[in-house]
Amino acid sequence: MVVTVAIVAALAGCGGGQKAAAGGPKSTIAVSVTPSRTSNHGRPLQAIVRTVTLKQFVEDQYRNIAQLVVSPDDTVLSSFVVYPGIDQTITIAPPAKGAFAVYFLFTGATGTSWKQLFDSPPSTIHIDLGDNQIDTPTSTKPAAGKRAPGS
Amino acid sequence: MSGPTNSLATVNDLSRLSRALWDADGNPTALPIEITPQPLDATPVDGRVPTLAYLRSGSSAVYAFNQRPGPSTLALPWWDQGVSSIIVKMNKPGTTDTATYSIDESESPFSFFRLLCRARGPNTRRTPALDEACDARRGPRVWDIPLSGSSTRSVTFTLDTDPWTLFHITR
Repeated sequence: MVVTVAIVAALAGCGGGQKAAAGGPKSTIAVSVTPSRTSNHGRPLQAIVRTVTLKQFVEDQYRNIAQLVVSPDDTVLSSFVVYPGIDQTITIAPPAKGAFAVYFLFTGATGTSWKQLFDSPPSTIHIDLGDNQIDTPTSTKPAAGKRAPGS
Repeated sequence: MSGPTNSLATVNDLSRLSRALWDADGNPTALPIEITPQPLDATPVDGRVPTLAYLRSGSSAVYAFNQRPGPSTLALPWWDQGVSSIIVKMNKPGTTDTATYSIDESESPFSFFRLLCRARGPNTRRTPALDEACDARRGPRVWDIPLSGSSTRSVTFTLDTDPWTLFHITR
């Protein structure tokens, strides 16, 4: 499975129509997912994108993130279903500040290989996912993917 | 002084039941039932695959979405169970097309327990007799939820708590 996270600069007011909101231009994050057929044993899996601090990310427990699927809080930027073998792209609003993380709720998730932190907005990130885990990310621009030291 | 056979055990059981159903101030107490969701069968039906299932009673529910198996607590509001349901959501990948199917037990004080009686064991025939299904205690319970036409989709939740034990009264 390959996940692409891209910051798409969509300048508000482009063409002279609208003013940018306070704080600068608006942007969006496009999340493209290209799963393999064998990810999660071929079963759909839930993905969560949320704003986090490093501390929160390190201390995030699978069980707590799973609860966000049905009871999202204010940190959740997006929750979507990944279908093995089916490409898809979603667009989300970027976090107002700080880092964000992507979580994949594999049935067989172990350790910390189901979550990935991005502590600065990357332009494009590809994350290879194995059957039950995120593999080492690659990026087309400098990106800051970090794996947590603990689950 | 002696009473009828087993009368003391009956009194003790009733006392235990009373303590479980009400707190010291006489307020009803939700019954905690431990349930472990199981992975969903991903076989497509009419191009749709299940992405979410849940077992609900009143305002309490336990969810299955192919997450890592682990127990959840359904806090059963026994005094207000309302409608109890087992529900599966089927999505067509790559679209927003969603279909929802369910088995519902209408509003009643024991709708959750009646819903349990509509499940089967994983190795039993698909349509157990009602009393046979109600004999089930702990372990996996399977609901065959009707989809369109004659097809069904099986959804499994494992009961880690025997929800009937509380109501067992020695006679």
